[in-house]
Amino acid sequence: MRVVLSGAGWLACAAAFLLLIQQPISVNAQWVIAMTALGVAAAIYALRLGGTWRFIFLAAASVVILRYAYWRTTATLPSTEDLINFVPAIILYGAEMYCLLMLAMSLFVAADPLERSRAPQYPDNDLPSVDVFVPSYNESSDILALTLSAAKGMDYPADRLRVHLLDDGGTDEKRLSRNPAIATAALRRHEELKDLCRDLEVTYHTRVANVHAKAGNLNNGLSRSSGKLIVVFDADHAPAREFLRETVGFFLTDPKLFLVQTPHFFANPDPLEKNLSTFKRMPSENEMFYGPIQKGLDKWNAAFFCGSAAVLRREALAQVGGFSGISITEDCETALDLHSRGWNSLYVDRPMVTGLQPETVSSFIGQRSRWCRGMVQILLLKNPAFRRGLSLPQRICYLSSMMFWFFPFIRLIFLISPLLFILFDLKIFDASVDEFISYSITYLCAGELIRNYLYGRVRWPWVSDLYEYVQSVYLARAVISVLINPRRPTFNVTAKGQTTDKEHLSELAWPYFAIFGVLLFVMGVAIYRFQTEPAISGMLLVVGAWNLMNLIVAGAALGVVTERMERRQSPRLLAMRKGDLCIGGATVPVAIEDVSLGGAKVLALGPVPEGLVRENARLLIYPLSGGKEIGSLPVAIQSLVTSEEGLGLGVRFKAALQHYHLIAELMLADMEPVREQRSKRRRMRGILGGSLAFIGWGISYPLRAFHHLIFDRDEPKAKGAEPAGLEAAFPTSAPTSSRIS
Amino acid sequence: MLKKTFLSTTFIAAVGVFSLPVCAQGIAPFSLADSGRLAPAAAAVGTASTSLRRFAASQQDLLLSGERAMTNIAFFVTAAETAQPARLNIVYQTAVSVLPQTSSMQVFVNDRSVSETKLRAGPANSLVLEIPSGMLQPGYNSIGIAVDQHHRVDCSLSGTYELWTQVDAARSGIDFALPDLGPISLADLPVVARSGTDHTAINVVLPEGTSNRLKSLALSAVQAVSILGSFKHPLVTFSKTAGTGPGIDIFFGEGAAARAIGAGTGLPGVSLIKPDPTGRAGLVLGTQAAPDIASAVTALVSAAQSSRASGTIFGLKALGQPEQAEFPLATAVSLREFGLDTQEFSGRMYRSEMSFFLPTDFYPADYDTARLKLNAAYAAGLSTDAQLLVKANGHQVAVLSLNAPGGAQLTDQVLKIPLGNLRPGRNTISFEASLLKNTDATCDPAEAADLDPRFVIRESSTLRVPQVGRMGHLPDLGAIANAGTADAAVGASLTLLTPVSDGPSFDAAATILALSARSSRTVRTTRLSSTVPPTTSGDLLAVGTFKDLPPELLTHTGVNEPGMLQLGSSEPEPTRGGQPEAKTLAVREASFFTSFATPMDVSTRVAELLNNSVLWARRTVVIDGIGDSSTFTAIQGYQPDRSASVILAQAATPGSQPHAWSVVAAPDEAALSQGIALLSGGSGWDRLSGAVGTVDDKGDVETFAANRERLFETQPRSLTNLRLVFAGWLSRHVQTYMISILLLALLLGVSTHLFLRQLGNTKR
Repeated sequence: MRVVLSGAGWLACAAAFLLLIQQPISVNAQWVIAMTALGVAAAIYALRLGGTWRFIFLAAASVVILRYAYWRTTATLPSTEDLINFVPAIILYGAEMYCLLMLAMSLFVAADPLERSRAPQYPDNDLPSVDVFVPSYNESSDILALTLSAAKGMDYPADRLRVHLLDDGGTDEKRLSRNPAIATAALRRHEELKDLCRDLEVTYHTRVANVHAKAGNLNNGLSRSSGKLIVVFDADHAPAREFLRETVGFFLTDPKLFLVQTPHFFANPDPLEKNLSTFKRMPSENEMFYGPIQKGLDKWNAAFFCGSAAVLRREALAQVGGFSGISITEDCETALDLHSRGWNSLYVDRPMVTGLQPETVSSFIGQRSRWCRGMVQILLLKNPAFRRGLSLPQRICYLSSMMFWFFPFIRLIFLISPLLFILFDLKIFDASVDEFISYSITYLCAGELIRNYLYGRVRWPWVSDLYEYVQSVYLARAVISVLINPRRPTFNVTAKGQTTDKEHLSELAWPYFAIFGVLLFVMGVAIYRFQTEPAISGMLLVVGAWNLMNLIVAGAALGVVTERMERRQSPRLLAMRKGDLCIGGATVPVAIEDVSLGGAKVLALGPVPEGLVRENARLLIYPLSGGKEIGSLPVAIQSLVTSEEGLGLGVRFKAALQHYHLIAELMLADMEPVREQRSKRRRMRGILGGSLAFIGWGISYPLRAFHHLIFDRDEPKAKGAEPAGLEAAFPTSAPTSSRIS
Repeated sequence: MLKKTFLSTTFIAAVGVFSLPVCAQGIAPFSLADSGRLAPAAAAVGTASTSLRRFAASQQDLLLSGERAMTNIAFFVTAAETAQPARLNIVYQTAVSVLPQTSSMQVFVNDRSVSETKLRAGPANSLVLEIPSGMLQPGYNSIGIAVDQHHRVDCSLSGTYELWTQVDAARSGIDFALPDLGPISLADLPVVARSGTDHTAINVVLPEGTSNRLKSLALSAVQAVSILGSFKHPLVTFSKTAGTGPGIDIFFGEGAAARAIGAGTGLPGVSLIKPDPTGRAGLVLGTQAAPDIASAVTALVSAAQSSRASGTIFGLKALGQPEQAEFPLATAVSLREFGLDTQEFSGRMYRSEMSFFLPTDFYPADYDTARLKLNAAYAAGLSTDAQLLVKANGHQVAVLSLNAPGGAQLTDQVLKIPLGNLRPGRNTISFEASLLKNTDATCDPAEAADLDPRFVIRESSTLRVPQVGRMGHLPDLGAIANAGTADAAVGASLTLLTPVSDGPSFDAAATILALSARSSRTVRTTRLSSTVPPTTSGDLLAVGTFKDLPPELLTHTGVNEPGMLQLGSSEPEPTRGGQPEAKTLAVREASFFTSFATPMDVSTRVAELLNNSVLWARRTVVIDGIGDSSTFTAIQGYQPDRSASVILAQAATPGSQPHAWSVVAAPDEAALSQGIALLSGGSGWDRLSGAVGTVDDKGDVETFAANRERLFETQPRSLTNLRLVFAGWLSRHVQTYMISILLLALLLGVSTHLFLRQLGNTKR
């Protein structure tokens, strides 16, 4: 009853609101209305008001946005008789309306993000049995050792926890390959990992053939295990100790729950973060998704499986025949299948795994290409709009996630539109300068205000535009290929952990230069025309400003495709715990500051003996809760740095397999420092400051990029780089030296 | 070509025959500052022939100023005159600054060029042209006079203001060589206006002590005469005796009939006395044969209201009556059709305008735009500040720079004119292009003679006015000018309130009625009163001095005597056509719904509602809109300027059906007479709008909008119309709109929050 009443009230308000919005009023009146609404929204934004104010903010900003949509629809389209203008005009209009639709859907998704309390805790005897799957394709044994050790070390009754390595790199198909190189490598890998598993008390599985990629591999695991719950960790996703305690309890509370998803946390920067040097300060790209968006989806019971760091219910999976494998994004597809069968999902916003993400532009594009093609595949093959069993909010949520991936087209349309006026004088947007200012500019401001208000903590201004632009250049073709043949795309493993030993241009860089060049040329034409064609100077100013915005984004993108040097082999995680360093008989208490798979940085808390022996030291490790040492790692001291705080020592682990559980303990037992680091990056970045900084990128990075373009032409390719050009975006075979995702 | 040769020959012959001693004229020195005013014509041209039929135009109508100017005069020709040889006389004075060698005058008859001559500088020059027979048609014909004027020494823009040619109204016209006009019919009444004076005199002859009833009838007759004669500048007097000079006397009853024998008009009791040699005609109402004055007046009124002006299309267009210049809505119309100069222009300051009429119930607000699609071109080398300024009813709506170094073609350049800049009735869109070249600074005589075209607005340029909202609204002085009130629409009578029923106030009131009748072609019956009637009695027009008019009337209409400062009042911004200035946020009160009047009673409305449930949505809106304003709706806080000689103000009466109560007031009777004469003699009448208008001592009209308004329906109800009017109302009440929309945003926010709390996963 209350739902009906509040729904009716809402409907009445919305109807009256729309009635007033769709009035053809004067430009001056529009200006006054838009500025007042923006003023109200800006005040709520500036005062950081939440709760009900959040919705008042959105309604006030909607005034401006809907007024724009109304005006754009009724007053700006050229006559249909004038086809040369009308066709591009309607395309641009369509793109804008698509953006508005996406905005509406994303507002729906992010309307009321759900803040979950911690998982209910149950006595050990009540806990269900859990199978942990670590699918692997080509990851090295040290990485797997860490992940498996960490999985094994999770806080859970030992008799109810089984860890399985699902090796797709040592399948019969590979081991018996006619290619002797492949066969030898696969055989060696097979033996090595079997040994590793035996030592770590982990079950090793491989299968006959690599069919259905990751989904097939996981299903193989399903068939060979029997736990009530399934946990999936990607090979590089080492879990924290508390992972199961923070997730499993939910399954006991809700018998219809099929999924608990947790965020992915990356210990290394993506190419944008790396090449623009923002990793330490700027929130990661995925934090928007694993923050407001997944929490928003959770509100509508639509949080979906992201391939790793999640717990699933075997019973639910069994109902749909295991993990779905029609598309190349099996995770989302599986979730969609289960949601449509009435199962529930849930999202826990607590990072409990740390993993790797692609670090070069080409591997990044390759990964996004897979996501993009996979999501478009699902949209085409299992369209959530028509799928039975889904609730309306779930449909909207899934559509929002999938339709998002058409952004490459939208971006390209926005990129080309100003050119049509500046170069070819097409009048595709019939409006005066006054109207542009009163409608379009205020609309853009409202959009930016909403973005910043909703996502300001997890996304700096303009950074979304940059990410989208960088991807659009290659993803547009990917989308088209899926549209033409939805069943064709195949699963490609994302390359991660590549390093760049010197600064150079990405092999995918040339289209970005070409676009930047064209936009720069167009800017020149606009300036020339501005001076020589006074009758349209106002319009040139507007369209020129639009092109300038594109140019700035394209300029910043040149910074992204200039790969910075990245020497460190394995990313470090912050740790804050005590230990003892035993050097030549002396024991020095140390604070362990950060840890990576290969070593650690420690700070000496006591005097360090003179003339220390660098080799053959040992790092004693104590449990977090205090008490007796749990083991020691053989280390070599690599560097000594004196700082204000004292003497810092860089130590390299000389770890054997049996030591990996200690490294896992060091890295993952306490992820609190990591979470702190994450939340520290989540500082609100203002629109003005963010925009100015972005303009700075747009100006400075092209200079750096052009420097490389001119002076590095004949340099050999960087080590570890993927095949050049488009092949990287659409790899036909899996890259050889990379880790699976 | 043949025609041109013929015309030139005719012209030479004409000059030879009627050669006037203009050559003897030296260039008389005169003040340039006086350029806009009539300089006394030199006597050397001689007095006009008694058979000269002058233009029905005031001196101001015949002033041609600027580098290129044109005037089109509607000239009425009787059937008898078309059989006569016609000789066009134009006596003119050209500013001394005009360089004769490069300046010319072109004369058109019904849009066909009949002569092109060099202009002669000096105080009084004469041009005599034989008009080929058959060119003039019975009824209205257009006589166009266009001049191209170039400055002797000054190539600046300000120099262009020193260029003018004044055609002397007193000595110009067409000579049909008919000393006596002969008997005329009612349809020939426009001949009365062919006086060459600023006004057409209508004199009502009534003995002292005439009853109010007869006076009422006389006022109806005045209005009918004004319509029949299409008198552009009528000036009415009431006197005991017949007048002299050009004009018309209106006599009543047998006494009058005894004085002169009029010719029958085909209407019972109505006869016409043909114009005497001075141009004085007479109209007798109530003849011996049909002595009933009332029925004679009724017959005259119905004849007038059903009459239509006749003549050539050019003549009717020049007459500028609404029915001839009504703008076709939602159609692109060539600018040239409404009088814009689309010829190539080689001067430095292009000025031209187009005028057209919009429906009298047009609701002017910015809910849409008229689209001006401009095809134009300009020459290379114009200076950096060359620009085209477009004004709608005197308010700037667009500026286009014309300074591309290489010149440019403007193709389909769209300029949007918000509908709020237009108004019911006559609208004028003017174009001013300043076209200086850098070489103009030096003004080398060799360069100055450069007559290469600099600018052209092509004939393919169009204006498209969309479907407009149609809704009567009060207060709106335009409603007096075009009889646009609900009462006028149903023929209800108007209460005329004057402190005394004779004298200057009464004459002024009659002049206003005559003007209103001419522009609306509607006669309003009047009820005379000297006291304030109840508000339900209908429309009211009160004319008098501030001291004599009932003070409550002034209060109702929101005006005070000039100079009487009202504490706490602030002067509203002067407006264009009754709408707030573009940049001014109009603070308007009252809701959209309460501003609605009810045009019919609720039961009728409900019945109508039940009859047609399809129209549910729009009906409900209007039913909700039945509101009752308990006070007069008028301007607030208006403080008149001391320089205003006459103030016109209007208020809507309270109650479900608003009536227009208009007041015309002046400090004293002399000012009143002068102000009304100026209003009638100039072009100010067509520009009246808003709640208050002032006429200053030069005849300039300034208007002010009310901050509240009442609406009433004039059209069958339709959703589209209501929507336009609603949007227009919101545009004019931005503050209300803003507050409502923000309030709704607030409600929407809160209700969304409440609703969301019931939906989806809740916190757990």
